[in-house]
Amino acid sequence: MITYTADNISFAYPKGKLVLKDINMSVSKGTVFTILGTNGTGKSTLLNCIAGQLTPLSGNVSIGGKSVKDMTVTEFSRHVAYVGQMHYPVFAYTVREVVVMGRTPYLGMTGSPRKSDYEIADDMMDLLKISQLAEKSYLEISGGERQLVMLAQALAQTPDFLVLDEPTSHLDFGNQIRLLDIIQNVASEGYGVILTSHFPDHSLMFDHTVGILHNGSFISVGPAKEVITEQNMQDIYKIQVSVSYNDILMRKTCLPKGK
Amino acid sequence: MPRNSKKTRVIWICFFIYIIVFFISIGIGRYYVSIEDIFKILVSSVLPINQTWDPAMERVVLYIRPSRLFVGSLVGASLGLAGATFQGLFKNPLVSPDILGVSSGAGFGAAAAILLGAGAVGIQLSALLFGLLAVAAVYLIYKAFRSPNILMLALAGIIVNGFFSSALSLTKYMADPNDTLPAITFWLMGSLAAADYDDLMFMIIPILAGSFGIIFLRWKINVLSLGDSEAKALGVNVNRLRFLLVLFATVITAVSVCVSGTIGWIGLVVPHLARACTGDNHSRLLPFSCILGALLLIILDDISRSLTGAEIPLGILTGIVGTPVFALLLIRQKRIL
Repeated sequence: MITYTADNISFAYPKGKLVLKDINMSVSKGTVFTILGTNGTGKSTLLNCIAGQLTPLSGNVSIGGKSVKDMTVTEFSRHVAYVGQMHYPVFAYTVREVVVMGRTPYLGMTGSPRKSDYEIADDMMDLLKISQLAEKSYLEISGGERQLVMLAQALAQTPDFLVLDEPTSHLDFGNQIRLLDIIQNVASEGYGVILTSHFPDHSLMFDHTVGILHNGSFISVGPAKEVITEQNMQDIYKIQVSVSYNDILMRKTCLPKGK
Repeated sequence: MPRNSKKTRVIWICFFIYIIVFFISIGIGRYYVSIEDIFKILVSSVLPINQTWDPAMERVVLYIRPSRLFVGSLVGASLGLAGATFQGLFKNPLVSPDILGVSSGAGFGAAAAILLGAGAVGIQLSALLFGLLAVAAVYLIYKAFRSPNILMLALAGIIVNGFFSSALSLTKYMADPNDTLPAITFWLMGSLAAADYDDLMFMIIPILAGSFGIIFLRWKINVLSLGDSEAKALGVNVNRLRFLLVLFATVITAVSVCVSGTIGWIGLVVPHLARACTGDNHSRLLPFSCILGALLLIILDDISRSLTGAEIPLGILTGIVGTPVFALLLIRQKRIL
């Protein structure tokens, strides 16, 4: 089983103090790792370090035992797909053209996507139920749809691991839950998923691993059911929450009580 | 398969029109040649037929006009292609090939050579040298900024542009207002009047090399235009790709400008017109910008040769025609910038 591992990652922006301190984490294929934490606590920075966007000050990231430092950008992108929070498209590519860009790691320097690449892109749009958007301009769809398109692109990359920065942030109530479903399906098909979230309850739905990031370090890592406790949530978010078993949903839930 | 046969067909139609316009343009100019004569002379170079035409006409049809038309085509194609490439690179459809200082560098180089009394070849080489130097300076300043942000590259371009336009003003100020200053001014207006076979031979290799370089990378420009971090996540070596694109686009622009002088607006308007026909996908946009640039430039050059007794400098015409076309395009398009 291939694992995606971060050993003792530390990071600071130029002339800044440490944003991440000795982070250790490990994700196996087929599992979901949710990173929770308050705004500005380093979640996105951590994802950027893991996903090769930023180079850690110290520590090592490896995939299946091979350090990412020994991989080319292209080789890395065949293992890991990263979807950032928001980007601002300028050109009116069709959704299909954007999704097929996920095939870039397999095309070589001067290549263009082939028929088989378009087929993979079409499959991924089917999987995310966005095929009806295929010929629409990427500029004219909503922010939530764009998020799904970027996810389809990441899946078209056929990586081992998906790194998703707040994948539900621009989605409506229904699409949030549908996306969580998709992520769970994707994980059960063998992808490893690392994501950040602002919803502790979502990680209880996944029922996989959770890490709580606070001031640049994990203060608690483990199975969601054990990490999402009233005490932990109150400590980091400074609000009262209720973590209890819901008989109808047949799972633990985490709901805010208010201040 | 990519569902775009209609958009691809447009490229072939434009290419076909280009061939026809090229053929007709051989006859257009102060020395008019009818289509029938053009046809006969062209055929006579392969098959023996009775010569019913003036030998001077043969020289015009076989050497003088085609040289100029080929030079014009190369210049138009280069400016269109470089414009579309820089727009993709900067993720901004308002960028023109001048953004990194090629034109202002070349303008200064030409003016300085004219001031020093250099001949035609000297002026060309000096323009080329300073055009390339300007972009090299832009790239070095960009590297010194130590910021991966592409806007810093544009900023470096503004700095170098500012420097060379002042340096150009200095050469103009020092130039003799009776002969040198008009020569500089005419050069800056841009024209193909002096374009000949030697220019064609000088241009063809660097322009074909640079253009093919860009065309080979055309699909990667799509990926790059999503954003640096997106491109990197898709396995693109962003710095290397960007450097290659700047290099190729600079070479074709500099080589064009040093032969034709500064010809504005083509590099901005052609990619926009092309976008309206083929969409923003650079796989089609770039080849189409090439053909459309070549087509428009030879049409404008036909007009500059034939509208009045004396030639109108091409650079003036491209501005006068280009600006209203650009305004119309922006009014009619749905894109919100």
